Amino acid sequence: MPVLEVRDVGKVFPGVIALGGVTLNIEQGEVRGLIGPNGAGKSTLITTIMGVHRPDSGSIWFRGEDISRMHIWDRVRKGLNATHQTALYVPELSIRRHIELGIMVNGFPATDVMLIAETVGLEGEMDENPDVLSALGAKKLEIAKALSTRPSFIMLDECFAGLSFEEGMEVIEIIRKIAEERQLTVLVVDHNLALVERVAHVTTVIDRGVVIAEGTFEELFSNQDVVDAYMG
Amino acid sequence: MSRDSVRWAATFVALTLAAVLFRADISFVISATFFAIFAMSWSFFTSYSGYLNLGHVIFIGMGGYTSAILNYHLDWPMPVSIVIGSIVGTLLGWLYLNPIHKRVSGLSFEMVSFLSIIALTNLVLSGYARPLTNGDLGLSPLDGIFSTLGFAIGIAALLCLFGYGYSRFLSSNSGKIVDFARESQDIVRTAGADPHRYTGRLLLLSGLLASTGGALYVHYSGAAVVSNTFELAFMIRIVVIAIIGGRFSLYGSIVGAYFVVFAGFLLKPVVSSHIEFLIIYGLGFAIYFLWPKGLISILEVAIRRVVPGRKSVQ
Repeated sequence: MPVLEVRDVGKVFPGVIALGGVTLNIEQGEVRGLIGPNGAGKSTLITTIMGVHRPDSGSIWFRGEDISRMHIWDRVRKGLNATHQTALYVPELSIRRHIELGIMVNGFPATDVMLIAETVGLEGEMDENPDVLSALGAKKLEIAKALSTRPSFIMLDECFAGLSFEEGMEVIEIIRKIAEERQLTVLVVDHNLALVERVAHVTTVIDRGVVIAEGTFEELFSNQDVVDAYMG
Repeated sequence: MSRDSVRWAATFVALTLAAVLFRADISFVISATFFAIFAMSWSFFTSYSGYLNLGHVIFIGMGGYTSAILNYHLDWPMPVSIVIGSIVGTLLGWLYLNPIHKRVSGLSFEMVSFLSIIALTNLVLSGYARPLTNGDLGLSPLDGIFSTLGFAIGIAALLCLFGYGYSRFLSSNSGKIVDFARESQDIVRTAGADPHRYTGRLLLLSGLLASTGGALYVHYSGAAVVSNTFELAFMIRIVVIAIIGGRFSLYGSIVGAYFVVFAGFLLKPVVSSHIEFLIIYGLGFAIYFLWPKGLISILEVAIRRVVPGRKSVQ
């Protein structure tokens, strides 16, 4: 049974059909890519899965349970989490406190803080405030915050945006590490096809709020719909 | 002993000394302590949750009127009325404001809380509530609390006990979560918690002190009337005191209350009440304009000069 099932989910914002009936199944332990042109509905899909928006139609199932009407915090406690496109932090509070938050809220042991910091490579900056972080550092902090809630499924929204190729490769190493060591299922959402290709087992392409293809990159770019979506 | 307990014990000693030194004018000391109670309870919720609560007097009024009704209409003994008034006032205020703060934030919360006190003031004065509240005559006489040194020390102890409790809350895990919730509720949500659960606790604790203060205040004043409970002017006075003292500091409320009440004490014999308020609120404006962190920040700089390396106080 898939760990996450998105069943025909629709979401309409005033004047825009953001999701026009998306169906997506992701298996346990998979690293799935999600790509699509600007405005395709990738971020809306993630925020809807997380519970920021309620779907207007369809349903979302996580580990066999319908979570469509659950609060964000309940979804997080079930093991679902996501990173934000733009890092979300309080500039006055240290990186340590940001990682501690999820651990404290969920009652996990304090030893998790350094383990997570070491996993993402922030152990040397724990007492700094987040606004000293580079773009890569901010991505790491987002991943660390998500890991602090001990998720079993994590969605990384625009996780390569604003990074150089080398920095993107560093994020890929982190993704591989957390997927392997923590047996995480990962959904990687980004525009950078070269990087998504390097990390995803299977990739889903979304355009104008619907899934248009799914498969390996080789399969995807022999699909005329995908080529049309990207090339116009 | 923790740093918080030492600080609040020292504050209690300082307030007791002030009461002893000014025992000839003990009513001013008691007044200042009451306003410190109201300002600190307001500041505790508003400054640390990020919600500007303009309806804080709901707690004061609910506590005050409940105690007054029990004492005036039912002849309940004053101590029992005060205890019941504090509890009922806290619960009623919380049951009213907590759902509102969950539903709306920012300017909407300010407007709803502000309009609530206008509505409540008019309800208390209206014919519907008159059998209970006596309308604009208020409930008087009530069993009174006298201006004694003992009472001044007693409410200083209440203030410091709550101050200590508030400090402990702010340094607890709940307080740390509130630090995030104030700046970004989304961070708390994605950490797996409902931010309103924590800001709601802040509101409850804030209301408990305000309501207890309200119940005591009506008996100290000898009457429960809108001017010492629900009235907008009363709310404004509390906000001004907290701002002058420094609203991001629990101690700031005490400094602000003593400053405003004693400035009034010094000015009263020489100027009319309008000029008195003009000077006090003008000073408040100047202080807030020049030192947005209030008088406590000036005091902290002075203390740091005497004791180098001292951290700022909460």
